[in-house]
Amino acid sequence: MHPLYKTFAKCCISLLAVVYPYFLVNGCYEGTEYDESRIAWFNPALEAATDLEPFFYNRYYSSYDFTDLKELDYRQNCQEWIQYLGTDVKLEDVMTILYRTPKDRLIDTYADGKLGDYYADNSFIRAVLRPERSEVLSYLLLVFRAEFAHFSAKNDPWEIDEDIDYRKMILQKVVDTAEKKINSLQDSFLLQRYAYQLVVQNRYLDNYEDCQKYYRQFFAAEKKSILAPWSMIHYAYSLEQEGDTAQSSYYLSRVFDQSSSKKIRCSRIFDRKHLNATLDFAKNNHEKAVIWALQILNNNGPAQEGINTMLQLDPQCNVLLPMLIGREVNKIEDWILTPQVTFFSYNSPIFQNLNEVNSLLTADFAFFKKNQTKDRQYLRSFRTMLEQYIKGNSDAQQDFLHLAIAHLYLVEGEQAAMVEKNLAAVANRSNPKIQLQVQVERLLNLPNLMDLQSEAAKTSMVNLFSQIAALSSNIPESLRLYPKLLLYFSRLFQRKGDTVIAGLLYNRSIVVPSNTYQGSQYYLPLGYFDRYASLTDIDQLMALINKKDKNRFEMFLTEPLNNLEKTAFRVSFKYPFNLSPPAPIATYFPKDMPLPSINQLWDLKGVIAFRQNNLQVTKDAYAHIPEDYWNTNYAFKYYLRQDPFSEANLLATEGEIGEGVNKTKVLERMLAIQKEAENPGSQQAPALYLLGNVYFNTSYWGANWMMTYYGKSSSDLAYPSYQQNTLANNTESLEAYYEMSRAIACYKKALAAKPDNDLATRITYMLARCDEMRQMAKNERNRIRETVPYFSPYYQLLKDKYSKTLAFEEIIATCPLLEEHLEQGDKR
Amino acid sequence: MRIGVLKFQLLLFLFLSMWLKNHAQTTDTAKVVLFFPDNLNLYVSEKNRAQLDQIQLKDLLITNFKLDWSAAYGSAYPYFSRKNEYYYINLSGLNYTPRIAITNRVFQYTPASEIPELARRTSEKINIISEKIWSATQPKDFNYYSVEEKKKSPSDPSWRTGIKEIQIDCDWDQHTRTAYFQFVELLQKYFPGISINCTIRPKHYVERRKLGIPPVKRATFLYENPNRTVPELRRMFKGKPYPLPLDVLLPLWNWVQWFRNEQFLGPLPWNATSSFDPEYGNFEPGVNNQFSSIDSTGFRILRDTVVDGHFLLKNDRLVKYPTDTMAMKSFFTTLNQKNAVANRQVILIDWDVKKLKAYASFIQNIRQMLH
Repeated sequence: MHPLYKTFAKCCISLLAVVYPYFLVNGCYEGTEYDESRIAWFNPALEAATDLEPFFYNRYYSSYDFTDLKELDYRQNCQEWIQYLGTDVKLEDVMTILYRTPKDRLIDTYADGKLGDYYADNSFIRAVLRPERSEVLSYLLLVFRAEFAHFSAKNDPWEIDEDIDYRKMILQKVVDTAEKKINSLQDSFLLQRYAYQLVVQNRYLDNYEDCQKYYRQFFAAEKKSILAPWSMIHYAYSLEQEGDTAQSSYYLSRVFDQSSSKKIRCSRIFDRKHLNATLDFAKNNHEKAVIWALQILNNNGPAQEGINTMLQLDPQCNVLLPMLIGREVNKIEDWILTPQVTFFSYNSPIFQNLNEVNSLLTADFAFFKKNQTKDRQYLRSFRTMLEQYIKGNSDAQQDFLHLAIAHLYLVEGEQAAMVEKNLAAVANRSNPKIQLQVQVERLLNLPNLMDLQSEAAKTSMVNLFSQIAALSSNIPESLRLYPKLLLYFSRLFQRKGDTVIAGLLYNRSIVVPSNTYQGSQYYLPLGYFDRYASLTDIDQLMALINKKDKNRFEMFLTEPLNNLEKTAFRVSFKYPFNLSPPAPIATYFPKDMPLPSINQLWDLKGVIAFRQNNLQVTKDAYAHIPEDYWNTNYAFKYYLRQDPFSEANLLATEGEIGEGVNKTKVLERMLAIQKEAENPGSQQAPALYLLGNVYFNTSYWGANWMMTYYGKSSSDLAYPSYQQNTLANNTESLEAYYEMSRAIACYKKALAAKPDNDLATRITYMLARCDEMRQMAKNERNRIRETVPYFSPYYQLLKDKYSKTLAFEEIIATCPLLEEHLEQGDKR
Repeated sequence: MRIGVLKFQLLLFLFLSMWLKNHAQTTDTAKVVLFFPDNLNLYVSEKNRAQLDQIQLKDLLITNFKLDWSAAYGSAYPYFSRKNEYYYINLSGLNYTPRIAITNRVFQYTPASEIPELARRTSEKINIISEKIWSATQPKDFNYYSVEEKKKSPSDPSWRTGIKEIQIDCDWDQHTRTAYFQFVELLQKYFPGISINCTIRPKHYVERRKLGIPPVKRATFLYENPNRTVPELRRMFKGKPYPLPLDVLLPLWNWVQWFRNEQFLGPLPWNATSSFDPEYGNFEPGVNNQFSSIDSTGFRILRDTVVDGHFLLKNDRLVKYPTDTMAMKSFFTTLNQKNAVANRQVILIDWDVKKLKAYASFIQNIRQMLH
């Protein structure tokens, strides 16, 4: 293939890969930003150093270039200033000026002679404004200008002259001044700072030789100051510019090892193609291990080889290894568990509608099975490596490793004894992070040890969940460990067919995005039961809600949501420079969450029975509901807006509920008409016609569709993601809803029951409409675009047989386009 | 608050009576002008335009850009400038006057040797932006692309044919007058056939000996501090009339008055502070808590911050100052009674559909009185 075609093909495929899911995904989605939706029940912060958080296998961190979340480097730099200026200068004051104030503001304030006034409370400003510190002040003003040039300045602020480069002018000025100062200053602190400016700004002015020269002269032997690693990254960059990639990568690995704020940057620009050449520069095994760490970071695939090499090279590499091992455990549990628990809610390779995804609970897809087999093999191999390592190293982080091994056994499944054995080996139970992990493992191991539906298992569940809740501040909040565990247990009870418990646990885990339409506040507590509950389940749920003396497990299921269950996290911007860590946002759940109200449940029971065409049960359920319920709740009044017995009016506008459009009354009349329709006689045809109208009006196409479902979307026909996945439905009820099978059956019977000519006209007209809409539904679902629009034979019948009736005239009067439509039929 | 409004009405009345006494002279055709300060978007919806047409408001005074001094750049720079010309719609058929605002700091810090360069840059910037806005005001069949073509030859700025005046606003002082006046003279040379109009504030009016008279043919009196005392106003209009024909700009939009230790520091446009104002909805306690509400009239600064280029300090007070159309009306009634043909009046209007509607009859009254 010609390379150009190759590139073109690649572009097309990439574009499709990006755009296609957008077309597939439809419907409403309510979610929280930046939360981790993958399963991560192994705490990545269990043993890792605090400045390694950005490398966790976690969407929140990987979405942004977090640098030095704990500001360790910045604080060290400020400490160096305090050491120089005197201890009466406060750390926070230095931080405010150096890292939290826009530099042009400081420069402008100084130019206006107001720096001292505006920052009168700031001990750092007070210190540098003393007359004897004029050298310090002029250094600061110079670097403020350099920072302004780097981060805020435009090349030409006037935007009229393309040749002007303010940035370069300012940086050159810094270099010129610094070159003079390093030859004249006696003050070693300031001298080093100016030298640092020479390294940095020469790099940005593309003077790589000077950059390297000043680095070697002033920083090659520097051990203490934070300026050493900070200048080294520029040195590495200039080496790279001169083509010495391997040496550059080596220096990047040294910066990575010594600095917190540059870690992410180093890992991003580290060149992985020159591993061996880079390793040649390493002076000892520790340096080699760090190079290996960089080699495997940012790699979301298996990294066992790298970790194994690091274990051989530097088993004492206590800082990086736990992070990398935890990261690997998180990867494995994501690959194996996420599809089963959250159903690929984010990062979905293709859109899965729920029917397909639900089947993951019982049957595997081929691709899923293949991946799972591969992932399990990798899991075992990685676990074996850890087991061998722990045997040979008594001083390694034993507790951490035992927990990692226990967790891998759990993820593998059916290894209850091995999980228990490793948990028993954990020694330090006083550490809350370790305690939390132990309880998580215990909870996850519970289904392997006993029948979840037994009382003993339920009691253990309650105990473990409450202990985990109490300790949950020891794991990054964005992972939302607690509600995800609840969701997992909901899935387990669902597998056992216990819809009531599964549904309540599901409702308690509602903050976890789970690829399911959750809808409005009204529908939120109801959704799960709408999709999965049978009529008996609804009865059981109502009995549980009404039960007076609930046991602990029942209390646990039904009590209002706790903070962990109702709080989602959102990243906000911390002006001017950093993103702040995730902050809780209030999520607006109904106050009775996780429980639907009893009236909601009566209504749901009626709806489910109505879908099954079980009219008596429907009516009995509605009899419990107050008369004005549908006028005052949810959106009922807008979508039950027309007398359902009347002829279909597709153009009915939204409005207040009409008199008589009350579900109870509709059902009472339906039952009465049903009786008339069953017996032969002159009343039969009109009764069947009215019944047909109700079925039409309560279908997808009718104005009263909310008799049957709680939601509707224009894309339902093509992607019936909500209705089709209502498991309590069967094909018959879906056909009744989309293809009006019940309405059509009634109309056909009515036509056979010898109606008078006027009624026969109306029935034929409705049959024709239903027929054409059904065709439309089928085409939409099968993505068929007809070149010649379908023309129903019933329209032909209407024209041939009934065009002289009074009813026909009335129909034409209300629908003027019909005449044109009938003529089109003639042309075919 | 009630007393505040009365006081304001009284002062305004007094001020305008005195004004008329001194300045009742015939000049150009009087008109009401719609003003777009720098913090107002130039987006005019169809609805806005229909309202403008309804009240027959045809003249626009638009701030093209605002210059300030930046110590960080080491030069003056436009910290605000109009950009999104694609939003310049529904302006067709309106008359447009460009306005440039310059802070006094620009002349305080720009070395005398750089004033010619400052004037050159300013003139180029005026050319670029004015041309875009002007072409948007041309009739719809006007071919915008022909303007785009002409842009390539800078010697043929077609927009100039349609513009009579450029307004320059600067609160100069005795130390900067030389530089400012030199700048104005140099700028005038770049725009032959278009007259430069300088704004003057009360202090420039009163202390004209010390602060000088700008080297232009006409000026605009900018009355922006509603807190002047009666003796001050009396003093202001006692002497000889100003040697230049004067237009007048009155604040008919909502200001925020800025106080430090009960001393009035100046007005701030409401829009600039509204994002912190609890009333405007995007105030999130605990997030944007630079401001705390005192009562319905204003708020106090809790943390040092910058608003619209002004440094606000902790404990500064911002008080809302809504325009009182009743007071304005009484002024114009007086004007009418005295049968004086006033100068051209430029009225500042907050560009808000609802408010424009509220001011419609008021504007109509003024227009009747002016003619």
